[in-house]
Amino acid sequence: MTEDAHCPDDERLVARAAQALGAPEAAAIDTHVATCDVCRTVLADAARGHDTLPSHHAQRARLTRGTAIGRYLVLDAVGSGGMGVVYAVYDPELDRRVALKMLHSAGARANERLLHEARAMARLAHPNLVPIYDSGTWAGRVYLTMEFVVGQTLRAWLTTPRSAREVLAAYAAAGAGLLAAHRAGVVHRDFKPENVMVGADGRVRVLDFGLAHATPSSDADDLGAGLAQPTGAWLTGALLGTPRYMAPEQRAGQAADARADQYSFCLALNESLGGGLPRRLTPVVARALSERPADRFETLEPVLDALAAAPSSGRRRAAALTGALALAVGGTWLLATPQRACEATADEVAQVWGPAQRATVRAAFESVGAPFAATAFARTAAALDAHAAAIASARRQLCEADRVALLTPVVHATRADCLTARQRELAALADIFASADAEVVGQAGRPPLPRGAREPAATDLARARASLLTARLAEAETAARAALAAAEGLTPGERAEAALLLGRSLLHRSANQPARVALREALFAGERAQRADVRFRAWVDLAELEGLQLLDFEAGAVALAHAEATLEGLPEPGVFRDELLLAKSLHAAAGGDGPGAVALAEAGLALRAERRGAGHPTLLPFLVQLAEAHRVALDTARAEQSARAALELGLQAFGPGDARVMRALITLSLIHQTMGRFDQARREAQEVEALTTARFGARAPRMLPVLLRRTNLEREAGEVGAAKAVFRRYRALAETLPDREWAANFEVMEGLNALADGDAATAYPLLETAVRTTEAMVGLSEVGLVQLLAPLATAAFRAGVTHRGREALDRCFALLAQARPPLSGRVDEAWLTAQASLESGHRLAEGRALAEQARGIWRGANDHFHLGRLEAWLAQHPQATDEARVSR
Amino acid sequence: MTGTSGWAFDLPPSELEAWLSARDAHGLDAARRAELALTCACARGDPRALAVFEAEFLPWARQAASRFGDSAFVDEVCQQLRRRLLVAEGGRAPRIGDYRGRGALDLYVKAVAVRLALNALPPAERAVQLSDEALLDVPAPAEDPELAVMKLTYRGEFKQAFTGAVRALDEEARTVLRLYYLDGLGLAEVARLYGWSVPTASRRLASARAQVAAQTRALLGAQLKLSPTELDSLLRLIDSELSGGGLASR
Repeated sequence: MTEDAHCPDDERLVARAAQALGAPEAAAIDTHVATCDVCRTVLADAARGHDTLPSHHAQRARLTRGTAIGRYLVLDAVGSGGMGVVYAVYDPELDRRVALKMLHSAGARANERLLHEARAMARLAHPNLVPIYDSGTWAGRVYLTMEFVVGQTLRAWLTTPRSAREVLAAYAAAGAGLLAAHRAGVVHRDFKPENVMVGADGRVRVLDFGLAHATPSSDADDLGAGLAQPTGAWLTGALLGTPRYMAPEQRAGQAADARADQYSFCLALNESLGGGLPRRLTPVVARALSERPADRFETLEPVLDALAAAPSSGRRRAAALTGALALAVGGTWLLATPQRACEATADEVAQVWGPAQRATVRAAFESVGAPFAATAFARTAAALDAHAAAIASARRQLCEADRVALLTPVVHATRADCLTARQRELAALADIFASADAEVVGQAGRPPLPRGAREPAATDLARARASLLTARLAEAETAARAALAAAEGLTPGERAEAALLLGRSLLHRSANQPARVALREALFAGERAQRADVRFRAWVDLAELEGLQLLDFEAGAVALAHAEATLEGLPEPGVFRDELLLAKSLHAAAGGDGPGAVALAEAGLALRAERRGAGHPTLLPFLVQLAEAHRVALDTARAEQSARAALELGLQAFGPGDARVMRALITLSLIHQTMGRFDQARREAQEVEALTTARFGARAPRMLPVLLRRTNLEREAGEVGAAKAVFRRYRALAETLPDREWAANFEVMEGLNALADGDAATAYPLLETAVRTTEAMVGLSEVGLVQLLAPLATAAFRAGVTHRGREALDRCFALLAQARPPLSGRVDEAWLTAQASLESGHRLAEGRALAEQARGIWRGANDHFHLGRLEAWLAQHPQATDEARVSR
Repeated sequence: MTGTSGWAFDLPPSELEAWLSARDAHGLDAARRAELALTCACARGDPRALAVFEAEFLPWARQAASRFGDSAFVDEVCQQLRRRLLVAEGGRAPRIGDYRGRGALDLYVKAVAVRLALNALPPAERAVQLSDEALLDVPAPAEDPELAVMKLTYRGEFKQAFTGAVRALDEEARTVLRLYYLDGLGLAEVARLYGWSVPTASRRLASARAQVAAQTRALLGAQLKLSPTELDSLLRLIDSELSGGGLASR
């Protein structure tokens, strides 16, 4: 057997995988692994089979949602680096979301120093610094809170090509921040593009001052002690990262001052310009990059002065290039006769969507192999044909009008821009369909272009719009961000639209906070650009965010009122009126107001049908919502009827694999579940699962809501074993996904399953965690929390934790008492509370009253299924109605 | 998880003490110390300890080796593993003494098995399994015909540019790319290995992909003198190569 003598032995590879090595040894292994395939495979195997974490690793473990750190509540981990983990936390005092950086433990003395430095930073205010709000210690570790910046790192920002002028401007801003900190005596010590944020607002801010190393003001012994302790996690992290921008004296482990930052800054600047350093900057940067600190500038100021003075050679080059291109294009234009020039405009459209693209798209659709691919292609192609024809004819008309000077230059330019934008959209769509995968094919047939795209749009904006239409949310987000980052290339209206698209793509991915920021930006930009349509949609989306996702119905209602007010400013308010009614119905249903939701959905449906004609495909969401509204109003017969109508319309218009059709099927399944027709509900849920599998594969994230649905269904049907089996699949799949949102359901579902299984000891701690997590997300006053609190109470009583049972049950009563919608919309919550009370004997009289109300509501709704369940449960719990029993 | 309950073998406390000291292992948790006691007893040839090893740890080796060959191959690897870990050879104490408790024993056994299995593979086959060229065979989910033609026509040049581009990555990016695509580590596992968050791992991976794509494009463009459209098709090919085994299938 041969073996490379240089290979580390397997014990060390396992230790590396377990993070049990000191930094130098780990780095040596990493270097070896980069060139040795065998060792890399061994390492990968050890990393995969990790089931126990060594103790020092535990401090890197994430805090769960809902954990309290000082006055802050953890919402979500948003990232981690060598020095710590960053969380999005909620600050109840100031009612805002802030970023909290929890540093790895560095020992008491180092903690002291970090706190000192944080306080120095907190005194600094500069537009190019991320402000530090607060600092403290928690469980022996230092944390800092700072502004929650929505945006990207300079490193990420640089991955899209930037002009030299843009890069110089970004560095000038970051440098201004650095200089301000230096003047206050704070040194960064780890300046690199990763530590600079470019906000969604375009503002550049430097963060993470002084966190990488000890401060010079403290004694050098401390630094030595830190270095001699190779397993100190914060140091390991710092060294594991690339010390690419470190100044030589830092590499040598010596104390570093502001001149080290100067070195790092210029190294990063030089690299970011990719060798295109303007000539006037060259000597300045060369001096800043001197090996010895004494040979560099005393402060960063001369570097910044040179930056400010540097003519952007890049821009000049770019301008020259644009000129050359314009000349070339103009030349061609002039060579063609005017008549042929107008033909050429049509040909241009054909180049975007012509026979070649058509063949590619067809092949792409066929290769997906889904049964509905052929119909999907036909629909897609027809839609694109129609758009191409419309654009071509409009362009020809415009061209000919121009020849005979029918239009003023301004009008001509506006129309030409508009047409160019639509053509870009067409190209983006053709491109998406040409590389179609199952997901795109499933979405195909959506009306591919929005009506009346009036503004000229940049390509990114077009791509964002097209991606959103085809439900490619990640791509939509990227494209919208790109459009916003190049904000100067956009008109105010486009900027507003880009922010709206960004907000929507984030909202649909449940990235709530960034979505809120983007949507608010869309509101402001819409205001500036006088785009009432953008503002209307942003308000509707904000309402969805606050009301439907975060269950803050008050905020949702306010947003809807704003949306309605915006309608006044629209030239054709009727177009948006039905959308508003649909949104209002959704909110009413989520708030438990069934009859109100029904009325709104019916009004919206009527309006849409009047405008678009009965049987129009866009009636589908209205019908689905009507079904849902009837269900909430406990009118299951009408609910089933509407859901069936929706399903039929959807099948006709889009075919079985379409996402909107599946949505109708899910609604139908839910209605059948509510009716107690579990077999039917199960068949429908399984059909949804089969369709989802066929379209996206069994391991696609889209399977998760389907599996969640099925788990609830089986548990509700009393098949706890089946519920657990389905949920195991959910968990296995969710654990492979990077998106942590899905993991938030683990405790809830496993707790409810365990409780249904009679295992209160397992259920109780899970439900405790679930309630805390949910409270942190949706707030403490939402009556829907009863669905968790009542099972928690039951589990606590059964597990013998009586005081928690009482607390939870007291909150259920309190929430029900203050619920705004009529109790009929909350009958499930009332019955759950009654059960918990009757079983435990806590507040027995009120429990009995609730049970009586539930009985009355179901009797009034002729809901024999729920009535039967209630009577059967009461029969099994004779003590519940035993008058002699006294409340404990 | 391997349970430590019910392990019974003879080991004088002083022996264990010396064994732990030699491995600087006193500070480890109980599970690791129990595993070290087992390895100590195995090295001493205690038959009951060897039986525990055989029953509780060899199955991990078996499982690890089964990725690389049939059952005869797996048997052969296990035999080699017993010889390597449990038998003194050429004046050297049994290699199980190398285990120092910095990571679980089952993982160590697996690691040894994986190395033995890889070394037992014929070199050509090993190269197919492990080298960057294997990245090229990651199937694209919905390959369009244009790309298929491109792939066939320029396979040689493409391969050269592609592997060149992978090699041009910095060490870490290259390893991350390979761990993810070739070794099938999940994002969470890659993140854990490097002490990153999952989003960071995802970003690094995306940036490595982007670098490979850009570099391949540059190398190919120079080599083939393709038109921009053809080059764009190729670029999509590169992207499809790297997204084939990507998130969707994991």
